[in-house]
Amino acid sequence: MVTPVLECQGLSKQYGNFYALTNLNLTLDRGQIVGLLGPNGSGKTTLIKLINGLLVPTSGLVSVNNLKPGIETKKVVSYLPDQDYLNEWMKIHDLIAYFADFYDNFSAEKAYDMLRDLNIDPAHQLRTLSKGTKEKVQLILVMSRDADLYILDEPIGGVDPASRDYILRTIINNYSEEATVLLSTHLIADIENILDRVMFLRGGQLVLNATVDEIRMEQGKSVDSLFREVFRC
Amino acid sequence: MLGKLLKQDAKALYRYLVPLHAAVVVLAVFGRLFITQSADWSDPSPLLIIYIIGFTLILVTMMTGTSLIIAVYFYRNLFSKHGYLSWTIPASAGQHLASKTIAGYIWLVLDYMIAMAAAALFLAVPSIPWSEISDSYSEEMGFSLFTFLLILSGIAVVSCFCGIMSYYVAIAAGQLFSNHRVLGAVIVYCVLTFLVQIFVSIALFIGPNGFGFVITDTLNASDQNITWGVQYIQMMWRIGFASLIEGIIFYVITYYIMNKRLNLS
Amino acid sequence: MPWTLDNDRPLYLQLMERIQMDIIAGRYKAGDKLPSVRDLAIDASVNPNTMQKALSELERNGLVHSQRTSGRFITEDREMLQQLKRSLASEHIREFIEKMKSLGFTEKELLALLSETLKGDE
Repeated sequence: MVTPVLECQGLSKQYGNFYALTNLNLTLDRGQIVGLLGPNGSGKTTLIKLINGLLVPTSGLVSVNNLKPGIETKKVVSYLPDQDYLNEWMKIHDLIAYFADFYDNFSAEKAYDMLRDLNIDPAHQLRTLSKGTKEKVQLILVMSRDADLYILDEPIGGVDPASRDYILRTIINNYSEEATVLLSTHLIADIENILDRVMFLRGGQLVLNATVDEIRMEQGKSVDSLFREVFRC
Repeated sequence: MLGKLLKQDAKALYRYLVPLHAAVVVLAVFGRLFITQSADWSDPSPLLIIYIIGFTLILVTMMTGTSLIIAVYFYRNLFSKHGYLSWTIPASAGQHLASKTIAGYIWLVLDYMIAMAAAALFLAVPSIPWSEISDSYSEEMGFSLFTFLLILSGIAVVSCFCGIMSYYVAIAAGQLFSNHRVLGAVIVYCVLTFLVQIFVSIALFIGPNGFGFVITDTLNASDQNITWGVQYIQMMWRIGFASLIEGIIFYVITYYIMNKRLNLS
Repeated sequence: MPWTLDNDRPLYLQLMERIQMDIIAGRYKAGDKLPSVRDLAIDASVNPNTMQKALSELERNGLVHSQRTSGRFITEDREMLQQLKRSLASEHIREFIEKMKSLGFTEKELLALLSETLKGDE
């Protein structure tokens, strides 16, 4: 019986009177590429922060490899936040050195290969890069780790279509039966084809947890269409 | 892991603190060479007074600046957007706090020492009759000026720990608010400093040999064999001890908040 | 050739169809070795699990078989390949006939139009 890579039991997060997440229950197995979908404010970011130990639950449990978020889970979770979070004054070389220092499963070689593929000069400081290039660098750093769970929050948002393809190809290429990728995004149509499974979050609750094939066969429509239906304004 | 964190913290701090302190030292050297060395101390000109006040201000700015830089770094590295990196590397809250405390504390102590050295550079000129001052001091206090400064430094080194922890605990406490966390931290800091003053005063006055009783009695000091010096030393011990206790309490509170109450925005 | 995939039908079915087409069109010949699951998945920009499912189905149909460590190979059974070619063709033809009928053509008119068009293309 292989341990699920992620488990949430009765997970809730409350801010004052506001429930960002209510009684979330889910189990994620390894070897999947999963889409975490929902409108703004649905609790996606809250869930992601809880998995990473950046927030503490109000009640319930969240575990990675059956462990509570902590040092051991941070070693095996590779997280790409949906915002700038790195020191802008650092050169890309420095960032790679930093990641190599703090993460045993980080491959500098892989990072440099990907930078070369995308024609990014590692001698540059982050602050001199365009928004799109910065995002690519952040993604490269995250994907150069050999993790059990990759959490990518809007990885293709501000990126041009060609780079978008490269990023999706990288995610597929990185695929392993031991690891799971959790992708949170608005651009559903673009990534549908690489997803095994999707989870819809609305108002802090899980309203759908199904494989893409199930949705297409049982509902006869794409995940993108279903999403628009479920979340019609 | 702790070593790695320390390396990063030290690097980040010295980028600002080394230039700052180097500049002040250079100013002290200039001041000595061009102002104080050749000044007439028996009949000080208004300009000299201004220079002395100016230099004191520079020292104060340097020390305030150092504290601010250390406190801001603690906040930025752990609780701003950079927290997303700090808290996803496999380091525990305890390791983060230990690293920031050690790095900050060392710099605060260095800062104090450099301030003393700069002041000495500036003022230890032959034209000031230091040996006379020292002698009359020894008569009054029962120990030399040098010893006095040594004790003062010792207490300062201890209170640096309390100082740094008071910044950290205020910042951590600010995180307990859902909004306006920086404002919260500032308010907590002010309240805390106020409480610390009260605590120190209590520590000074209570108990046997507490100064609440002695000070009223010092009017009859000549009746007793207790010199000012001894009283002074006892006072310093109490302040130092109180600072240490406070520092430890703040450390524990900060650790608890970082470990159990982290809610990164 | 880019893999054109619709979003509203299960992907693995579409992948199967595409690979079948490639086989019939001669892009893969009898006995040829298929690229690895990962390479195919990257080429098609799909999840490797989905590609795996498509290939497993093709295996079930006998169109493809796997050798333990060497990978997957197209069947050597030329009969089967011909059969597949024929059935795919008849499917398209049937579809075409239905469509033309709905446009109002009779079978006679259709045959005549077909011969004319084919002759014209020679």
